[in-house]
Amino acid sequence: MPPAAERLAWKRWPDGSAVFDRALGHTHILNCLTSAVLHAKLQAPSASVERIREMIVPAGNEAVPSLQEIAESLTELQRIELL
Amino acid sequence: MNDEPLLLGLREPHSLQSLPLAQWDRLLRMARRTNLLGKVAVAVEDSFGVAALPAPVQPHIVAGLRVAQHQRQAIAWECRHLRTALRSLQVPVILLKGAAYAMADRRAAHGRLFGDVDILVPRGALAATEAALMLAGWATGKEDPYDQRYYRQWMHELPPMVHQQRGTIVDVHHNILPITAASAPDVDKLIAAHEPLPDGSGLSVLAPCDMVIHSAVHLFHEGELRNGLRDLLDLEALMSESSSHDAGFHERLVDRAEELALLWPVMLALRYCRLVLRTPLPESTVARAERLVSWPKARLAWLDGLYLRALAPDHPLLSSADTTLARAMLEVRGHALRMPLPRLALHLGRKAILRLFKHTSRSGA
Amino acid sequence: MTPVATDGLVPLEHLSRDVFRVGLAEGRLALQIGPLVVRVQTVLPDVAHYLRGVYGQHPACIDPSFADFTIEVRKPSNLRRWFRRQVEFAVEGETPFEPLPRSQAPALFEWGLNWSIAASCHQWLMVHAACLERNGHAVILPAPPGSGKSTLCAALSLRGWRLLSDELTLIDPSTLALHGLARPINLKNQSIDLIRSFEPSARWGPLSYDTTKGVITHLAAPLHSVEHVRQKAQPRWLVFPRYVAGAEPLLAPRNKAQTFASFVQNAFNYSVLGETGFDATGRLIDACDCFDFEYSKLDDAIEVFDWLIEASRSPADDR
Repeated sequence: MPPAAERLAWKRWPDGSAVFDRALGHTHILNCLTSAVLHAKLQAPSASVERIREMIVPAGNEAVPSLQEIAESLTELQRIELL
Repeated sequence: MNDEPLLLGLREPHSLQSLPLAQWDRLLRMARRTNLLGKVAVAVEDSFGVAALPAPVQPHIVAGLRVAQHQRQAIAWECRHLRTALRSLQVPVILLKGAAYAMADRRAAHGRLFGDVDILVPRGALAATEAALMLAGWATGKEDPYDQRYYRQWMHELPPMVHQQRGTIVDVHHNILPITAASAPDVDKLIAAHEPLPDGSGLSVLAPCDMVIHSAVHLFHEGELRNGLRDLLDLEALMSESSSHDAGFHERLVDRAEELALLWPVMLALRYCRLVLRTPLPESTVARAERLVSWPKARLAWLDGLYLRALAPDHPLLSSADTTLARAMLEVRGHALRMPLPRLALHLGRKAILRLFKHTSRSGA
Repeated sequence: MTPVATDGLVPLEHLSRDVFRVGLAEGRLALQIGPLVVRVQTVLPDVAHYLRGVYGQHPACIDPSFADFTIEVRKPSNLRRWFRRQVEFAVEGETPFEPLPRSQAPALFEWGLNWSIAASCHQWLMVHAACLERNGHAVILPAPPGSGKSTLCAALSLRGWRLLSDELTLIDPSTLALHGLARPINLKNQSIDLIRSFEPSARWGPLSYDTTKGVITHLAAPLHSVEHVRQKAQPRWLVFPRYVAGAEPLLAPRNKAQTFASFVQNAFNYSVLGETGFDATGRLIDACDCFDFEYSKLDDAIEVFDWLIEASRSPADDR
């Protein structure tokens, strides 16, 4: 399995992103938070949930996501085999 | 038949560059019908490129290339899923047919359509394989208990397993021919000679000679010859690729076929590659194979009559009573090879009734 | 793709009835439908009558030098014909569907043609959506059956929008150019009456038939749409329509990522195109303003779509 950074093609918008997984041929739609979490995790594969939160810069006035929300995004990303 | 633009084009792709538009029309119609559009597209792409084609033809070739590319990816994806599912098995998992050609990067995979994934495992590992697949989301499709028994008892494979989410199908074989057939080959020899794929996936393919032998066995034991020409092209691609870096390949092929007591399908494969595809083959090897099989000339002539017509691309443009009759006869012959006659009659008879009832009970959209 | 001059294409209705009938019976008649040349064969008089009625202005010829498909509508040739009167569709000799009741032969022609295109035209990204153009800008209306898409599409085509297709939107994955077909629009039940009163001068196919879903008939593509079918268009709006009884018109901007998902759900061959499909869809979503559209009255819908055109004209909104 090639590393995730080469595996994925991205299309990003302010309201979320579309990701194409070249390894498995799947297309995923991710909300803002999950997109940001994936992006962060790809940059720093061993980052903890807390570190990911530091890395995610919320746009505008959005509340900083909770650790719980980030953990849920990570679980989801693992479920769809992007991580 | 030998003048068919489709066959000429596949034998000599460069000749397609000067093919008149009206002949392209005929060629593309045949190609779609015989599932060979991908092969034509790849042949064009590899020899002179789409841009040199007449404008009306280009979109067809572009479409054919896209499908071929997608198919190639899809089979790789599916094999990846399979590898994950079967990782825990301690036995060789040997890919067969299209999936094998694709994952071993054989020329036979170029432009090919793939359907189910076929794998071969030792008989003792069947239960474990089925369990591992079910754990990973595949389930046996056939619900009819008679069909289930037919598969498990008589055939050389489990009933096809369908993945519940992806809808893809894997056929698990424990031999390359049904176990009731008189000439069931010694599959342990095939398994022992398996070659693990270089990608470290844990999946294997058959040894080069065995891959050809299996393809030949499959072609000449099949009842339906819908993909007959495609299968013959597979054989030709496998043999010419192997012999291109191994001058003694054809000889070793015949030796191995003899060792496995599967000489006659290989003999027919050599024969029809030469007659239908004009494949260059060493004369002495072909003669030796025919001598070893030693069928009477009359039998060969009869088979030629059946197969040469039946291997022709099937299309209304070519339809004649002759072609239809040949197919009907082969249908029976294929099954007869796989199962002794009394059991066969029961199976076919019941299937035929089922088909009839399906149609009369239809209420029309 | 320009038609080959030597093929001598003329509007179908300009062929003499005899030439037309014989050509059709012998499988030598070809129709140009947008960028596609379709060879058609049938001996069934209702199908012939239908084709001449709704495809009368499409270019046609006898013995084309090249055709993209060869299709046939015929009675089934086996046991089945003894049980009930049926009709089947064949493309290159293959019969992909179960036969239908004999009376639905013209509808079978259209469904069969849809299938033939969707099954093989992977030179394009193909979407189950209506597509219309005005002032060089195109609107794509993806929608599942029952969303009122066909009725809305018919109405727009009768109010200044050029019809590209009511069902099959064909997109060039590299340029995003849209290719039209200008084929008849399939309408049923109340939609038929609605469009008849909406535009009394509309041209209809010669036949209608009863099915389990009610009455079906075909609205011929307006002449202007057929005459300009080869004119390409670039996508400007993606509108997801939804008929809601009694609703005031509502045009609501849509989340782009969500739109990607909805679009892909309606794209027949998205997965065949792999990353090419992903890439093309991404650029399409970028290039278009994306909306959900709720409505109940056709006149309201026309007004809203007129407004889209107006809005696209003002310098501030120009791209």
